[in-house]
Amino acid sequence: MTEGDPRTGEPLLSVEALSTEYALEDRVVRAVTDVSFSIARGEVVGLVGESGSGKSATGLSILRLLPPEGRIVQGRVLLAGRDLAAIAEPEMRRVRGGRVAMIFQDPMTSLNPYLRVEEQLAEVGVLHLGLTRREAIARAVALLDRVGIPDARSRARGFPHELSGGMRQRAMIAMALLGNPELLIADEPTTALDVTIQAQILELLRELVKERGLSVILVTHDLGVVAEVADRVLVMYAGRIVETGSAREVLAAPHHPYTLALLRSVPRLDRRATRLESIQGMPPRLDQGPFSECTFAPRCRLVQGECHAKEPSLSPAHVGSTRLRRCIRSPDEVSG
Amino acid sequence: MTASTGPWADAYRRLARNRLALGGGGVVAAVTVLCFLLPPLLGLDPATTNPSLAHLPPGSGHLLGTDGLGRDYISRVLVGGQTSLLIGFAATIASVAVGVLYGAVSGYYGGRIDEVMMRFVDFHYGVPYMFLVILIMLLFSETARGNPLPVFLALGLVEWLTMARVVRGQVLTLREREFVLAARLLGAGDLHVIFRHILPNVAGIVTVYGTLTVPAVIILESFLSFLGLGVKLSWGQLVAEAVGVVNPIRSYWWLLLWPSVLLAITLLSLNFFGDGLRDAVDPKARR
Repeated sequence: MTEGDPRTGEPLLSVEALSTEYALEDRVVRAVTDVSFSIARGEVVGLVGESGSGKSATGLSILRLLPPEGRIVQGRVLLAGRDLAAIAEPEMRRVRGGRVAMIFQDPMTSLNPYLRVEEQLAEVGVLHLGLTRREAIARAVALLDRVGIPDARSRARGFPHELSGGMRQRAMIAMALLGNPELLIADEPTTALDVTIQAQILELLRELVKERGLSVILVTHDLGVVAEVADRVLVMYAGRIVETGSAREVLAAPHHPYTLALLRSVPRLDRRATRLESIQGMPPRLDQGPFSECTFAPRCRLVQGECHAKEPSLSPAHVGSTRLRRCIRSPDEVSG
Repeated sequence: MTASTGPWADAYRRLARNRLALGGGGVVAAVTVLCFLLPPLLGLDPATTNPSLAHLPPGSGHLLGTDGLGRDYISRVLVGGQTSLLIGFAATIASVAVGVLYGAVSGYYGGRIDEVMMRFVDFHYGVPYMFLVILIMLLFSETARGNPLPVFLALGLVEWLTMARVVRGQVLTLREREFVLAARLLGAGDLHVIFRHILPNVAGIVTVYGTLTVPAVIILESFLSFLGLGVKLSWGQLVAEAVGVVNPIRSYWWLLLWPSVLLAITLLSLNFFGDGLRDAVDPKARR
């Protein structure tokens, strides 16, 4: 995929050396460490990792909506050249839901039970597009219709509990689209849904990307979802990016042992059912300062002496390659 | 198209099925209408004294009798009811307004702000309210004493505390709900989130608690009146006067009976209505 906007030659969003910390009562947890990536217009980037790998924290850092104990300690978040980490809060509020929107996992609880669906959606239009209530509702209904809610007009008059889970996620997507965002951060958008509904929602996202040139950061732990829709993939482990590359290449031949282990822990239809592999051990604790070894070394099957010497940097797998990984073993040793 | 049923419509339907609650609400409404409409309609006069007509029993031209100064007792009971109800509702509305805002801010912002705001509430809880009330009474001049304003202030000062605590507790859990995060993710500011997303979710419990505050305020006011700290003419005041003149030889029973009965009926009905409302708003809480 091309890296930049054809007009300006500049990516829509570029995250540079982002680090985020959570100051808990007795310790400081570094949830995101030195994360850099960029996303072009119309590109879908999958952000993959297990629970606690820092993928949601990355999404929330971009929108500066970390819980009170969280803080961006370093780095820049450039949206079309402007650093979101540095602008004032009122300006940030215009970005949220305006240029950048976010949806997340549980569609059952993401809508206010006391507000009619249309009112809730219309708020975004009133807030960001300066529409009147009536115009905003009309737009909300049109979008509900677009995201595939049958009989959108009367559904919009109803309350959230009258919609099914899949419908609610569609309504959330419509709500996110209402402010005409350029970037959509979707945090586990299909995790709480049935597989068939999951496929429909992913299909919808794919259509919207094509239709509107929307860029999507798809946060997920599900490699199947990534394979389905993502152009590029970022694999996160212990708050770091450990591997990036085009989704097809990474999934076909991972260059980091963690990615490989993740792939092997997914059941597949085209392989005889042997025991599903799990990754032994636990992710490292993130509250004990800088690491003096590879963060994955304690769980890695390819670990060797050098891995304990220092943390490897994120570097090209081959000279000149756009595929980066944080491992000292050669790509062939990993995927072979 | 099927009629869509929101949480409010559901609650209303449950309330409409609850006969006791509806009856309670009806009685309160009836008492209120009687107290406010009858005196002007019938030209009743609670103030004119007539020593020759003192202590007349019910009937005899004065439906509920007369008091020791020959004042028409039905006028006094009804006009006294106006005061009691007015104070009950006004102090409740004031305590709801203050308590809800205070609790919402405290719970929403949390942390240090919450800490300071709630310690302030605790402090007020710690001061015996009678002490507070007497202090407030002393702050007002001799002429203002017996007016509703100081009593209203004193009661409001006591009642908002619990409301603030109730609301704060609710908001603490609500602000962690995903729809609040969703609203903020789409660019809503603090005020918008509080008024549009959080307060509608506490409206149910606030209504319930408010309804149950009204009788609490009325009885507090009666108690103050009984101690001679209250308003000039209210149910509590009438009961206090009646207790003063009742004696075993000449009982003047009607002086005590009418205000007591009205007070009791109103309080009971308000409580039935409030209980019904609670069941309607939060059906799971019913044991």
